[in-house]
Amino acid sequence: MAQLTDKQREFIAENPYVGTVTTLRPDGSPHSTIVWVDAEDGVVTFNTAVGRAKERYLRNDPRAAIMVVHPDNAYRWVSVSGPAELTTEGADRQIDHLAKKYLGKDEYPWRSPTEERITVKIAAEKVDSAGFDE
Amino acid sequence: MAPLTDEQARLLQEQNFATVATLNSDGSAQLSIVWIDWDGEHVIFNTAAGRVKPRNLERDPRVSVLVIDRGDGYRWVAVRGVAELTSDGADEHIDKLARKYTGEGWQPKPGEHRLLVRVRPEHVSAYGL
Repeated sequence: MAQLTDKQREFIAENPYVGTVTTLRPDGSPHSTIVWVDAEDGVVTFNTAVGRAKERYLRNDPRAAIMVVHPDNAYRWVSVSGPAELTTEGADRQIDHLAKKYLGKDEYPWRSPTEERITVKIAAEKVDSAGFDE
Repeated sequence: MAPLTDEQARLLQEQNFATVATLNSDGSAQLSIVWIDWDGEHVIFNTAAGRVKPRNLERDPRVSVLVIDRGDGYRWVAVRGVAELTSDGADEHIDKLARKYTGEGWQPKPGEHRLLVRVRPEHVSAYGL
């Protein structure tokens, strides 16, 4: 298991940079979309809603890859891939945390009563990066 | 075939970067950042022979290309399709891209064989566009 360095983890966790996440469709083709992203020890996380394509694809094949690029410097990026684990536990708290990180709001403003949030945790099995001098 | 709207095409023609997803031999996704172009029919990027991307695409040409507005992460377009690789015009094209992104011509590297990758959009999803 690879580990994120402190600088890589901070780059993802402490900046409002969106991530490109790629999951695999049932036919094996790649599906990419943009997500709010966070990182903790060896795990990159994002939040989605139950029933969306990403969630369905990950239940079918848990392999995920995520890329976070500095918006002003495309030569500074971190890419993580590994198996994803899905959990609804703490997912509401997490979307509020992400709303704070990305919007500066204490609460996620687009909450819907019909929508159940879910946290996706990608284990950093493989980590690549550019622009980190360590 | 799903063509891009003018606004989506502009995103590719401006100095924005793209994340390309190709498939490794075990079927997992490999991501990389590329310079990007649009010729009115195809999403185009450039790579070099021997790299992971072209090796992956030769084995399985299915690809996803996501272009994000560098000034606004909530404007993006994702294109899915099948990649075609060619050497024809690849050197001229990397020079065009270098001028677009750096303002200067491409400095060829000895022994490097450039490849042009064309993707005709089969499916397009976009946000904020």
